[in-house]
Amino acid sequence: MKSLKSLIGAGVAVAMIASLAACGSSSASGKTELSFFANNTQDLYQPIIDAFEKKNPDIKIKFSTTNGAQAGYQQTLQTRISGGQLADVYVAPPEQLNDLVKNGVAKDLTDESFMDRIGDTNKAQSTIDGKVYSMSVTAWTNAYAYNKDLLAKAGYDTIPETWDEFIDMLKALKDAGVDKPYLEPKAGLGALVEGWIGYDSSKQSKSIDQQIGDGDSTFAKSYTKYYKEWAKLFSAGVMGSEVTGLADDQVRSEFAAGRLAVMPSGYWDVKTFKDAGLNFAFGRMPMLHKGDTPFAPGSADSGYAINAKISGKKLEAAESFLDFLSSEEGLKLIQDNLGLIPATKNYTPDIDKTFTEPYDLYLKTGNVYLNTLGWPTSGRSALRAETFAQLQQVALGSITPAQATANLDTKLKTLS
Amino acid sequence: MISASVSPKAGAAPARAIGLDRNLEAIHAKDRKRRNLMENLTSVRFLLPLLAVYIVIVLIPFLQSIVFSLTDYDGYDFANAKFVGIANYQAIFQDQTLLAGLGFTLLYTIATTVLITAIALPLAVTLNRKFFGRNFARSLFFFFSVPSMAVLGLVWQYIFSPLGTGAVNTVLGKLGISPVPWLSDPTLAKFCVIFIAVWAQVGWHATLYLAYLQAIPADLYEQASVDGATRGQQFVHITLPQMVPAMGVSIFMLLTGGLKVYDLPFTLTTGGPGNATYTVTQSIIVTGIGSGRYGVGSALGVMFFLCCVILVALQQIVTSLIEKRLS
Repeated sequence: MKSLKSLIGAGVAVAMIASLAACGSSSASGKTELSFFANNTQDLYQPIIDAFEKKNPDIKIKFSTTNGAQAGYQQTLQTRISGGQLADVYVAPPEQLNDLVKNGVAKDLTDESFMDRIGDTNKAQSTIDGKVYSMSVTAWTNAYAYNKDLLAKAGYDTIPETWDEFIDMLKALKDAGVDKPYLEPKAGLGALVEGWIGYDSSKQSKSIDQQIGDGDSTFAKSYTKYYKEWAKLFSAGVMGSEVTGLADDQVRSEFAAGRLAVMPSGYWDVKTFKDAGLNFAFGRMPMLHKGDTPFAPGSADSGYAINAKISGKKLEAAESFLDFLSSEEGLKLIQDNLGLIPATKNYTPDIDKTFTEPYDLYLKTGNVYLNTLGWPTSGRSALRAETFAQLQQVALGSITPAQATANLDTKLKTLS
Repeated sequence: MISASVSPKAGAAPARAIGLDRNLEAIHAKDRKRRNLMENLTSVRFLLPLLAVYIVIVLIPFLQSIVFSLTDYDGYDFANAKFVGIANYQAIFQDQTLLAGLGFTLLYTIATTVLITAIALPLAVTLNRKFFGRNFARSLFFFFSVPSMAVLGLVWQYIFSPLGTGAVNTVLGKLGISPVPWLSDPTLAKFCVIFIAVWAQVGWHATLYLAYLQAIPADLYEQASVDGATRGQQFVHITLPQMVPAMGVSIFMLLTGGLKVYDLPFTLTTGGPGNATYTVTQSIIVTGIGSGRYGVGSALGVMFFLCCVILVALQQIVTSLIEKRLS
């Protein structure tokens, strides 16, 4: 009896060890296992993974993701790296790319054949010291979503070209009985300011935010005039201080319910607004002066990076995966499943007709700008959170735009 | 003679008996010591897993934090970190956002501790009485504390929405009152965070008090009734002194929970408007870890830990003084 128990025990132990060994093995079934860490859910990535595995039957993708938004992903990525648990292929946020390269965990992709397909703007964002470290295949831009029926009440059919004309339109909407002509979410206040800074930066050799980051300028010197323009929304009475208490979802709900005329948005909201049965479209973000080249907040999306510490079959599998992601089939799957807009040389995406204007104005031209990319790597997210906190106080009337920018300079000093 | 011959014998017997008693006592004492030792060893064995968990998830990370706080560690590879001395600690005191966070954290901690204690105690006394639907009422108050604070924050965001379409403002609108800027006014936003925290936790702390209340002997109240004591007098002179240990536990939990609050303000207001509801823990996460500044984040954590230790030690001293005085 005792020996039988021992035998069963030994059998169970062997089975457990075998199953554990299978977990860690890269070729238990003759397949190369490739770990992939992404910033989106598995249900969205699964069709892409399935299509890749079908084309590459000798490779098995082991997918993992994390809860939370972008900040949560970045923290988990950092924790995995410090714990030596980095995946073979992972999504590399542009904000972290410098650190990833500095710590030797992102492989140089410059000479890979699939990089020829990548658009120049996307490539530039992934370049450090002349070498490209991640493959960014999509791009995003903000745009103004507008309710056509509500705009028609004030005699408008699209978003005007300049900021003053836009404020006049919002006043006209208010006069026409539209209670909420325009709202911005509390964690997205002053979004279009980045477009204005982007345009002014395009005329200089170094972007305005890069100048601030390098200590050649300050927020007080460079940002105050933009914040003053933005604050006209409150002095003109077309947006109230209630925005300081509104989350992104709440603003979106107001728009989807047909009560809000205009809101800052993006391609990711197309499905939500269509499902709501709205008569809507996406338009330009007005510039400060007539004739200014249209710019909007946006950038290349996070790219796919290969762990610099892998080699052999795993490295070959990782390169095949990136090759697939940048192929026409991969890009179509990315657009259909992740809702992102491909920005490569080999594929022209089929854009929803409601989003044609911002696509042509910003993504086709590459006229997008993200202020954080110019700031010092360390402390970017804290500084971005601080810009919203300062603009909330401007919205409440407790500080002036000049005080807000001075406070940003103080914050920057504590972060450097 | 006989007596003379007997007496030494008779004297030897008690002496032997005393000697035997002493031997027995010594044996009993040894037994007691062995039993105590065995009991202690058993207790230690029971405590070992807890101690191991405590060391692994509290003590070691805390010691690591102290080391990190003296470096410019960016969260990737500690081998690349440089020793920076107390520079991270100096940086903390120059950050206005953190000081704002400290202000609201203290307000939240004190307000929730005072309000929850002031409401939970009489609530527990009420729930301890016999009335129709008592069990339902007890469950109802307890269930408020079941959902996580993060979920509550997201739900209450819609209830306290500053727009006219928010749940509370819709009701007010039907009464002819214009929308109240619940989460977009600094003072009201602070009130909302504290109100929800009190609403969510009061039932749990009332249940804690209820458990202690049920341990108070009923004859104390019977005697007091015979002596003509009113309900108010019974509460002040019997219930309150008997509840001091429970209050010690409850206040300790409220203080420590309040000082490290993060989830509710973050999901409800994200620390706003402005920095009105910003907390120290949010600062540690945003300014430190979220920005790849583990050194600064760790320095913040260490400083905050020391503040908590001082505050909690003060609370323990005050509670034990009250207990001694009442006993």
